[in-house]
Amino acid sequence: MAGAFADALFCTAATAVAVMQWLILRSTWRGMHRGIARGNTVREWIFAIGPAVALAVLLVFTWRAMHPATISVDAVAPSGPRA
Amino acid sequence: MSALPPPPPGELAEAPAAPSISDTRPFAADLVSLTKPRIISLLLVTTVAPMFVAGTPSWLTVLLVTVGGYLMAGGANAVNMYLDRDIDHVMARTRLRPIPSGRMTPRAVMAFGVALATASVWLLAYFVNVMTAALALAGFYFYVFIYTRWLKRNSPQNIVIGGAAGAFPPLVGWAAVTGRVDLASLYLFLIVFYWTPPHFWALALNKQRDYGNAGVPMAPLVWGERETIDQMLWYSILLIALTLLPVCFGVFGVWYLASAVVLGGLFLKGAVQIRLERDTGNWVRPSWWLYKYSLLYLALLFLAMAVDRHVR
Repeated sequence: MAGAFADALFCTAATAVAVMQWLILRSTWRGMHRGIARGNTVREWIFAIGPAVALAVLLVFTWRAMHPATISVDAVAPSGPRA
Repeated sequence: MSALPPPPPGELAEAPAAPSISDTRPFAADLVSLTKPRIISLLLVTTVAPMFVAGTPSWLTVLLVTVGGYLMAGGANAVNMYLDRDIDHVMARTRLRPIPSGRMTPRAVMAFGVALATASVWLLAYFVNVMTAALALAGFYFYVFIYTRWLKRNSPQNIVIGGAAGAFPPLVGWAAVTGRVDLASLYLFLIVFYWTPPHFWALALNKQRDYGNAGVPMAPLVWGERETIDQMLWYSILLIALTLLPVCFGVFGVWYLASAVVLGGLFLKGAVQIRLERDTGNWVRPSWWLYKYSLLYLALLFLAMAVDRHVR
C-alpha cells in the first residue's frame, strides 16, 4: 500500500475511531445517569474506558509499524580498524 | 443491580411456556447440543481464516486446531449451561436445553464441559504448540468466569467486555501458525471484540422480555432502547474503521480493502436503519436483519482476509 494513501487511510480511520469512542463514552454516561436501573458506576466507567485506552495504544503501535525508525548504520558502527 | 423493569409494550410476544420435550431424543444429540454447534461454526471461521493470514499451515494443523477449537468452545458452552441452569428454564429460547428440560443432570453437563476443555488443552499443547493451548484456555476461562459468572448478571456492559471471550479464536489460529501474538493478530481480536456489541444488542432489543424475566441486565433494559440503539451505530462505525486499519501497515491489500468497505457499508446501513426507527419503535425488523447479517458479515470478512493474503 502506497505511503501517502496508507497515511490518509490511517488518519481517517483513527479519527473515526476516536470520535466514535467519545460518543460511546458519552452515551454510556447518559445511560448510567438517565437509565432505568443503575449499577456500580465506577466499574461501568472502567469497562467503558478500558477498551478506549487499549485502542489508543494500538493506534500508536500501528503508526510506529507504518513508520519504523530508521537508524543510520554509520552512526552506530565503529569506524576505522580496531587495535 | 436493582430490579429490572418490565419489558416495553412494543416488544415481540414470546410463545407460551409449553416445552414439548421428547424423551426419545438421542443422548448423543443432547451432548452435541450442549456444545452449541451453530455458534461454534462462526468461531471456527474466525479461528481458521487467521491461520491462512498468518502463513501457509498444513492441513493437519488446520484439522487439529479446528478439532481443538471445537472442543474448547464446546466445553465452555457446556459449562455455561451448567452455570446458567437457574435461569435457562425462564427464557423461551433456552428452556429446552438438556438441563432445564430434565434430560441431563447438572453434574453430568459440568463434567462433560470440563472433559472437552481438558481434551482440547492436551490436543493443542501436544500437537500444535503451548501458546495456542494457553490462548484457547484463556478464552475458556474468560467466557466461563469473567462473562458468565461475573458480568452477565451484573453489568449492562456484559457483552461489551464479555465480547473478549469470543475474540480469542483469531489469536488461537494465529498462534497455531506463528507461535506468537503480534499487531496484526491484535487487530483481528479487536474486530471481533467491537463486532460483538451491535451484533448482540440487535438480538437483545428483540428479546427484552426473556432477559428481563431472567434478571439479566442487558443494555436495552438498563440504559434504555434509545442509548442502546445509539451505541449500536457508534460501535458499527468504529468497527468499520477498525477493519480498515490493518491495510495501513500492509497486512492486507486492495482485495480485502474493497471487501471490508462493501461488507461494512451493508453493516452500517443496517445500524442506520435501526437508528432511523429509534423514536418510532419500528426497529424490530431492521434489528433482526442486522443480527442475521452481522453473522454473515463476520464470516465473509474473515474469509476475505484469508483470500486476500493468497491472491496478492
